[in-house]
Amino acid sequence: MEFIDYYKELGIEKNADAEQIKKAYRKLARKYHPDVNPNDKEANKKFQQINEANEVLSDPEKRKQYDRYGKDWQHGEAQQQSYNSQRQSHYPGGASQGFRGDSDDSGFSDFFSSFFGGGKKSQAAYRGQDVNATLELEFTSVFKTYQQTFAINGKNIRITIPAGIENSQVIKLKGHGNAGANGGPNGDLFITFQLNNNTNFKRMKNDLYLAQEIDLYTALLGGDVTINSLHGKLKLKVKPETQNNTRIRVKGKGMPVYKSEGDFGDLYVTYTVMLPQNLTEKQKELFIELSKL
Amino acid sequence: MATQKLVAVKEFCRHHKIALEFIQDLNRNEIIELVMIKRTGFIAEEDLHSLEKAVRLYHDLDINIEGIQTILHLLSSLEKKENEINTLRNQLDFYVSAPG
Repeated sequence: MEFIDYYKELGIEKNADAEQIKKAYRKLARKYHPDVNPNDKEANKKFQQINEANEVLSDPEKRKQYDRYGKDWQHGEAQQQSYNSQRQSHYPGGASQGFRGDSDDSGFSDFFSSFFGGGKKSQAAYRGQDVNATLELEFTSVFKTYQQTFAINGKNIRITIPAGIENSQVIKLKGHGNAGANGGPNGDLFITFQLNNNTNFKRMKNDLYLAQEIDLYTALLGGDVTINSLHGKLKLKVKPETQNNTRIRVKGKGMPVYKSEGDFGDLYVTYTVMLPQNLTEKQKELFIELSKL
Repeated sequence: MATQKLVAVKEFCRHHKIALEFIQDLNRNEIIELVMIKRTGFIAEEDLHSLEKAVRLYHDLDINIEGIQTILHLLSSLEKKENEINTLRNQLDFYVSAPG
């Protein structure tokens, strides 16, 4: 556990007065407050650090104790018991100054806890912190609506994953974030879905795109080609004289439409004509003959 | 008929130890929208998050109503931009190594 220089955290001199501390704290808090830095973990961490620094330096008793022991703070632990009992008599309600940010109020450092015996316990009711989580899914798994249980903050949560959910889509689960304090409501849980696509399909909203190789003879003379779509095997007609990079549309064979059961996007298949390689002498002769016709 | 959960403004103020005038100011500046039923003000449950954020900005960061309005507007823009980036990222992913 390392010593934390609270003065440095707030960017102030050791002889700063209460007004200077407040001013420095407000300035940094406006910059790093979780409400103005949504989804920014670094800012959140920084906010907790400056909050902790303010918690100590804005409280004359805590500041006195902190200043007295400084870097030899470990020797001050023996004082903790008596300090805590004094504190109880000075602040019977346990109320203290400080922010009720959208952050984890218990986020005090080990240094702080060792020195002062735990974080502040504000009497004000406030909403619990929102929690952001990422859930990785296989691309093909979102082809059907299903339920999945996953653990977050030590709790198992069972959620319904609607078919057709998109990569980076976020859903909100109300009240599944961190618990509120002093009767405040729970925060919300925001789940970002990350779809891992290891298939040959590319997705654009509800449509799927596939590159399908066909040989020269099928392209020239026409025929059938069978593909493995997400809907199962599909037999596609190839028209005679199909050009390279011809794209066809297979209606309703794309991804399911999010929250619109039974509706699907389309599947676009691009034919890539593969030219024959390693021609035999006979084949070369025939191609020469063809070219002269 | 859809039902709407409402929280009484007085209850909210008591709970958060804030003055009723502050909520009225937010309402006047269209930061929140109060639902009036028989002359009693209520807040829709879905607006609670924004309201609590406004309360924190006001009390914790000492930001005035105009500042709160600006911050909430910018945060909303930021959220829209983030969604746009996600959509564009998905499209980019499509075009990188896209077939034909």
